[in-house]
Amino acid sequence: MTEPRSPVEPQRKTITHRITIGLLWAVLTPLLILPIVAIFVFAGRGGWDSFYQTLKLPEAQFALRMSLWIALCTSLANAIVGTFSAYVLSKHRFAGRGPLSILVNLPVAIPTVVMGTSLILLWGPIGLLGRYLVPLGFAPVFAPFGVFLAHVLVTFPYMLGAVKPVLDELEITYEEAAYTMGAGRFRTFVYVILPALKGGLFSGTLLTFAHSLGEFGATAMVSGNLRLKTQTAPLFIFAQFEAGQIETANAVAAVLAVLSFSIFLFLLRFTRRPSREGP
Amino acid sequence: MSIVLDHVSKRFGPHVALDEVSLEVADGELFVLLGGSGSGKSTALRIIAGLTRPDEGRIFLQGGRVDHLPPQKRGVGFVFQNYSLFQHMTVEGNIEFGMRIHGVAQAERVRRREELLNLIGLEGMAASVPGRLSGGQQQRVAVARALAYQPSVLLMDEPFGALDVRTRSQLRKSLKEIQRKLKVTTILVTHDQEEAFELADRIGILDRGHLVEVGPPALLYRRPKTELVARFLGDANLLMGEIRSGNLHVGEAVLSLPSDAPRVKGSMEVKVLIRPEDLEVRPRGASADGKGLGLGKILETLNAGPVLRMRVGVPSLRGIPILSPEPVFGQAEPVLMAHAPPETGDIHVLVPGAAVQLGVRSLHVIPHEGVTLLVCLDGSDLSRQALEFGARVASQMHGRLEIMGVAEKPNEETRAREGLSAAAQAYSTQFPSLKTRFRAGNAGERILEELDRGEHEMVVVGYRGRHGPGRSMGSTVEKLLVLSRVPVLIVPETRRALKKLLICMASGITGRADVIFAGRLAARAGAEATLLHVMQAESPGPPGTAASNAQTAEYLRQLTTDRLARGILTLRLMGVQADMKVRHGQLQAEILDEARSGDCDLIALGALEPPRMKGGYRRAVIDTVLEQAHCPVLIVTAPPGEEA
Repeated sequence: MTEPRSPVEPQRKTITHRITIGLLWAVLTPLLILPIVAIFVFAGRGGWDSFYQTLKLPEAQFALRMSLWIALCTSLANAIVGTFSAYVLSKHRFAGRGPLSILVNLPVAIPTVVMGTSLILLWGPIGLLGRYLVPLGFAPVFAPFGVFLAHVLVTFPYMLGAVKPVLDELEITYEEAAYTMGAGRFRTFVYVILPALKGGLFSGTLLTFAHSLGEFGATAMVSGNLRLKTQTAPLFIFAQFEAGQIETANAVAAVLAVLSFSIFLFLLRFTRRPSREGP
Repeated sequence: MSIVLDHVSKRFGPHVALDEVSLEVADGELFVLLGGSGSGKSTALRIIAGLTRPDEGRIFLQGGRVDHLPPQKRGVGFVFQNYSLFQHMTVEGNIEFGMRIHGVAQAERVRRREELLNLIGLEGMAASVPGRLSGGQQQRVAVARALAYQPSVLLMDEPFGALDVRTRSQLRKSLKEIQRKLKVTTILVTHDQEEAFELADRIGILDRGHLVEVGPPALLYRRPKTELVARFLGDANLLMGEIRSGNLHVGEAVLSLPSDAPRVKGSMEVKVLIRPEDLEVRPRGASADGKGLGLGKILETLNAGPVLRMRVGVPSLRGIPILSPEPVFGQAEPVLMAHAPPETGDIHVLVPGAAVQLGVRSLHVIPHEGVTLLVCLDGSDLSRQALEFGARVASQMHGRLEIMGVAEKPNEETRAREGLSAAAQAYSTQFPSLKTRFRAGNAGERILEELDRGEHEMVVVGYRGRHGPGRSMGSTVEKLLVLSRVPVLIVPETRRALKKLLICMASGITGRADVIFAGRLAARAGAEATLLHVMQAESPGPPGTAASNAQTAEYLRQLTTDRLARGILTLRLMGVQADMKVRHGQLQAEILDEARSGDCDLIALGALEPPRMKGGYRRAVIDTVLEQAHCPVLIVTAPPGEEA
C-alpha cells in the first residue's frame, strides 16, 4: 500500500488499522463517490458528440443560463441585504432583536418545499398580498422574479451566517476610532468595516451561489416549472429524467456538478488561506 | 484652556456614570483621570470625544463649545485600550488614515508619517501589518495614528492596560517625551496609581461619577482635602484627633500642627493622615527625630524591595477611632502601618515582636465633617418618626443630617414638600449644615441614587413590618435591604436617645461588618453595647450518634465563645463599653426579648449577603424583628468579598 505516513503514529499499520480504513472506503464509495461517477458515466455514454449536442438544446441552454443568472442575482442581493441585516443585528440593540435573530435563520430549518409554498401563499394570485398585487400586474409567482425571491429567501441564512460572526467579533472601537479621525458613517463602512468583512462576504457569496445553483424544492413550487420561462437547471434535469431522457438529464447534471465542484474547491482554497497568513 | 467640562452628567438607566463633573485642562497639560472600575473615567473620556452623549452639561475644546458636534467634527485623537488598529491596513495606512480623511496632500502625509514613525521609534516598520507587531509596538502605532492629523487634544483610555509591566514603564517614558515634544493637551484615563503619578502634571480622582479632587500628584498624596483621596492614594494611617490650643492631640500624644492646618479657637475634631513612610519606628530608648506618638510593638514585617513594611501595634491608641488601616474583626489592639527604608541600619532590630517607639515625621490634617445620615421623608407619620430618631442619632454622633423628601404620585407631592420645609425649619438651627432636597419618583430608587453619590454613611427610613399598620415605604425597605451600599436604619418606633445597642451575632454566622459598624456608631454616640449570641435549640439527632452530636455541640459552643470574645475585643478597641450575652432558644424571639429586657435603643442585625426579596431564613428573622421590635433596627450588609 502506498499509504501516506500518519504524522502522529507512523509505525502503526496493524490489522485493525487496515480494517478501519477499508471500512471507511467501503462505506463512502457507494454513498458518495460512485453516485458522482455515475453522472459522468451516463453523461458520456453517447460519446462526446452526443453530450455536446444535448447541451446545445435550447431548453438545456436556457435552463443552465437561467440557473447561473438566478444564482448571480441571488448572491448579489444577499450580499447586500445579508450584510445590512447582519450589521444591524450585530451592532444595534432594539426591541425584538432576539426573536428576529432566530427568525432569520428559519429558512435553513424549514423544508425548502414549504418555503416555496409560503411564497405562493403570499405572492400568488390568491395569496395574502398577491390577491391585491396580481391584478395590478405584479405577479412574481410562476415568473423568474418569483424564482429569484425564493432563492433569496432560502439562501439568506447562509450569507448571514458567514458575515454576522465576523461583525460580532469586530469591536465597536474600530468604528469609533475611524469616527474620531473624521470619517463619517459611510467612509467608515467602506474603509474599515467592509475590508474586515471581505472574507466572510466572499465565502457567504460563494455559498449562496452554490446553494442557489442546486436549489430544487422552493424553485419547483414557485416557478411552475415552465419550459423556456422559469425552468432552472435542476428542474430541467428532473423533467428530462421523468420523461425518460436520461442522457440529456445527465449531461446537464454533469455541467452542474462540475460548476458546483469548482466553486467548492475555490471556497476551500480561499477559506484556508487566512490560517496560513498568521494572525 | 484646551478642555473644559462644565457640569457634565451622564446616567445609564439607574446607574449614574458621571455626576456634574467640571474640569479644566490647560494647554499642553498631561492630565490623568484616576479611578477604579465603574468610576466613570472612560465615560468622561468618551463624552469629550463625542462617542457618548452627555445628559447634561457643556464641553468646550479650544474655547469652542462642542457638545452638539459629532466625533468627526471635534478633532480629537483617541487611543483605545485595545488599540483598534485597522488590521487590513499597514502601519503607514493606519497612520495616514486620518490625514487622508482630512484631505492632507500626499507630500505632507508622507512627511508627517515619517516624522511620527521616527518619534515612536518604528522607522522602517511602515509596511508591516499590525498583526505582526508586538503589543507595545501596536500601542505606539495607535498613538502615532491618533496624533497624525494634529488633533487639538489627545485622549487615551487605559493605553497601557494590556501590556506587561516592563513594556509599560518603557512606553510611559516615551509617551511623556512625545507629549512634551508635541505639547499636545492630553487626558489619560487609568486605574493604575503608579502610572498616574509618573505621567501626570495633574491628577483628577474620580469616584462613582464624582470628581473628588484635582491637583498635582505630590499635593494629592501629601495633602489631600478629603478622606477618600487620602485612603485611595497609596497606604494611609488615618486616625481621629483633636486640635486644641494650637496643638494636635491624638489620644494622649501631643503632636505639632503643620503650618497649613486650620487655625481654630477652642477645639476641633480632625482626621490625621500619617503616611506609612512618615511614621518613624525606632527601637525603644533610641532618640527619635519626630514627635512621639507612643510606644508600640512590631507585629509583622514584609520586606518589599526598597522598603520594609511593618504593622505596628500601638496599645496607647486604644479607643481612638482609626479609619485606616481599618480594624479587623477580633483585633485586640490598634494597628498602624509603617514603611522604613532598609538602609537605616535598624533592619535587624525591626523584627516582629520588637518593642519600638513611634515618631511622626510629618502629618496632614483633614477637617472632620462627621458622619452624614440621609433621612427619607415621605410625609407620613412613620417617616417623621424616623426623622426624629435620625436627627437624635446624628446630633449624638456630632454628625451631619441630610433630609430627602420624596413623593411618587403628584397628589402626594404637596404633603411631602410641606413636611420637608417644616423639617428644614425645625432642624436648621441644630444642624447648620443641614441639606434638604426634594425628589419626585419611587422612594427606593431615589434613595439609592442619592446613596450612589457616596456621601452618606447610613440611611434612615420609617417602616412597621410587612403586616404592620401604615406600611408605607414597604417596597422601599425591600429595595434598600437588597441594594443599599450603606447600612439601613429602620425606625418602627422611636427612642429618646441612643444609650444602649444590642448587636446580634446570631445564627452562628459572623457579622464582622455589623459588629464593626455598630461599634463605630456606639463609639461616636457614646453608647454602650451588648453583644448577643443565640444558640438555636438543637433538634435531636438520629440515635447512636449522641456522642458525635455532643462533640459537635461542644465545638460550636467553643467557636461561639471565641467569636464573642473577639467581638468584645473589637468593640473595646473602639472605646465602646461592651458586654456579651448568650441565650438559648428561637432566634427572633430571643433577640426581641433581650432588646426589651435590656431596654436597648437599637438592634443591630448583620446580613452577610443581601437578604433576599422574599422567603429565606435570614429574611424571616429580619421581618419578624422589624414587625415586633420596640426600637429602631439597623441592618448592616457585609460588603461583597467579606466571607463568613
